[in-house]
Amino acid sequence: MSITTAPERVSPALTQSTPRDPNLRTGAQILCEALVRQGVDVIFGIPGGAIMPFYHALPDYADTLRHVLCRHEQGAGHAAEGYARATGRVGVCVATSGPGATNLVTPIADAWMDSTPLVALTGQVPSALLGTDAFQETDIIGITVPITKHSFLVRDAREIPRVMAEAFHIASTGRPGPVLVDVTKDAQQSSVVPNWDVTLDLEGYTDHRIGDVDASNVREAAHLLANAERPLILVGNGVIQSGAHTELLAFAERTGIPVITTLHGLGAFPQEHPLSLGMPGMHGWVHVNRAIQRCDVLLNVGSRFDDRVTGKASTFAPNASIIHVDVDPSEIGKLVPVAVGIVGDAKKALRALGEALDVRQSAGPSTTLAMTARLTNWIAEIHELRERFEPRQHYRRRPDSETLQPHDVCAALNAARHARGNCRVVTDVGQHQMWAAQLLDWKRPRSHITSGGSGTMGFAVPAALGAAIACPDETIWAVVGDGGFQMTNQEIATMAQEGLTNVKIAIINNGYLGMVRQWQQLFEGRRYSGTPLTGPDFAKLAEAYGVRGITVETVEQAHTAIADAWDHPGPVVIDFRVEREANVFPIVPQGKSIGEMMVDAHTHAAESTPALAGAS
Amino acid sequence: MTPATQRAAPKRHTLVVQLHDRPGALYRAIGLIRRRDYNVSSLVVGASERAGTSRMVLVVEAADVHQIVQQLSRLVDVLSVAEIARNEDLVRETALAVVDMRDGDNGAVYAAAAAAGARISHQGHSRVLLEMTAEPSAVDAFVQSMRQFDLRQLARTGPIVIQELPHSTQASIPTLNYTAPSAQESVQ
Repeated sequence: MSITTAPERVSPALTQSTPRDPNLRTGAQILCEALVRQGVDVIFGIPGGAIMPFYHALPDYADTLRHVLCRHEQGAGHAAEGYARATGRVGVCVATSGPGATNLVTPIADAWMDSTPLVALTGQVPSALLGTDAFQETDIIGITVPITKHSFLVRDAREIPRVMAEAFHIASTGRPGPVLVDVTKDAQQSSVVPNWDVTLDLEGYTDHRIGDVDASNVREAAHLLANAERPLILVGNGVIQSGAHTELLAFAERTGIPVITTLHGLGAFPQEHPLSLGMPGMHGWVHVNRAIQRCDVLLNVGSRFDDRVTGKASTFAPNASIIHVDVDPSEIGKLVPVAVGIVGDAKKALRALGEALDVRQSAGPSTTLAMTARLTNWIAEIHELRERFEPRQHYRRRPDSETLQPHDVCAALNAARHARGNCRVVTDVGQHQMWAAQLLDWKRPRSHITSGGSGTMGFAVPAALGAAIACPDETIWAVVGDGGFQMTNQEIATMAQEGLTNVKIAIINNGYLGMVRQWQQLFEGRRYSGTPLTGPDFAKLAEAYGVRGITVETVEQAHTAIADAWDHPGPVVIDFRVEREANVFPIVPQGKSIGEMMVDAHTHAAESTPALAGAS
Repeated sequence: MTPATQRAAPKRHTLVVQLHDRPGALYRAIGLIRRRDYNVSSLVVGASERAGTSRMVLVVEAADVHQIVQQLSRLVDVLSVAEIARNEDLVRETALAVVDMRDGDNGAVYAAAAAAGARISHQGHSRVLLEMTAEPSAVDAFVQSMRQFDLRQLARTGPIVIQELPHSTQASIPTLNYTAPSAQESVQ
């Protein structure tokens, strides 16, 4: 749809012939100004009929508000998510009514599942036409009710300052999440004098980060921890969202309790730290899952006991008293019974727990130092497990094979990251996601960005676009499968148009929807139904988009290509053609206990020690 | 209801929710119940003591409503949620019943209505509209007794509840000292 405005970009309020109040603004201008007032510097979107007044106003705010034109609204939504996940700030995406809005549904659902602060701004048909099946009318609020923290339908421009303030407040506070603001076209067009002196009308909304955590619960938790023989700390996205990584490090070092990090917790605790154990769950390490099954106190900070972490929940951590710290009270006791629930901010809770343990230190024999000493055996036990399983978990090249393995790609990327630093990795969903999570080193928060709860294939390329715009001084690597890449690769055109230099895409190309194929191989007798996948020559596709493309088939080429991509001042797509039937191990079959892991296609790491000794 | 999702047998739970009287608020609240595939057996929404807010009384058949209560509390438009224990709170429901009377059974209809505690709201030639406000179990008994006659129409409001004040509101509600009309008063 073309816009026929004069190039002078005269604002509509000023084009009126009759003298008017100079403070008058259109709803569209008020929307733009609200975004600026919220500190938004970039928005991702696509125009269309019902959002055209907003786009008409936008050029007047171009100095402060960068608009990134995406190629699909799903891309705009994921890009806003990538921006939000890299920075911790609210991501903003914009779409028109009807199909534009419905294309945002997947990223909104993704943001809902991963607690990503997102404001989705959609145009709506004129209010007189609401409910009449008008052209491009969709009840987007109705559609997104289950996957938004809140939503607003705006029919009066005077409401915009308050609604936008509330939307950003709700999206970014408490447990963050997506908020939809649906603005009718007439509300965008009408002129009013905006009142920016707004008070938030959110009486029913509680930000559980505010205030102190419950002292008696903290004391109870500290008591459990002080007397634990085999304690563990499990951390997730909440630690990263709260910015509690410093407090976590201090707490772990003070108590000597080992730390495990969920997929979304990667980076919350430095992986090279002696107390870092790694990732738990379906594709976690055997020693981590075994430690969970053996531990007597499990302190979960900011993770929600997702089934990919717990396996069969009724068998999860059977010997443990569980302490659950979460900013969302509805998560406590949802899936796993807890001994102590602490509602609040991870940072505050970790500080309070540390202080409570210090008080115990001065008061009696249960000192943090004594704890550390007592944990020596426990840590030694876990390390012994790690040493026993590590060589078997890691891929070993067959002596006769020179095929490029996904593991080789991860190793090459990891080496380059170590050498160069200043890099974040965005992964998609599937095998490559798990390989990256397992095999790359994660050292700092927000350096690992992925689609977890929703498992949205197609996330990585647009989310990397958003992260690259958010972090212009860093190199952003998208690691993506050939399946997920083909879902949203159109956003390479956006990267090219925006002139991005710092985004590189590594396709782990195995010609399959690999994770499903792996399940079919392991559990369904290699019945590869709907999983073999072809694609274009990705390097040529990249060239067609005007960016650099490289095809890699050997380990040596992998190292060279990654270095070249890093140095190239523009987006690069590397097509890593890897072993087609490589698998992710270990794996817990779905619905099984995390004590029942397969370390390769034939061997179960049975929980009992005798079976372990026998397996080879 | 999907049996696989229900481990324990579903029971009736009554939830009282105070929420902002805004478009979409009810939709969000009910959506949480639908998501779990719980059946809503009764839903009453009306004004509360406080302008701009509604009180919603919801009867759901569910194995466990703990999670629902938590998730309702999380909604931006919801001010308070409570699961009520009926013996501690005042619960009332109204039923309207239209009964056709055949020759000779007028007396029996009136007697049954009087015994149940209902009163006559409208009386026609051979048709009567009975109104009953009481504890839901008493309303159940009234409805049951009317089924022996020619019950042409039945409408029930579903229960409404007066309970202890939720923490989040400051307004005061005088405790209603409501007693169901006695049989003598109501049927004349």
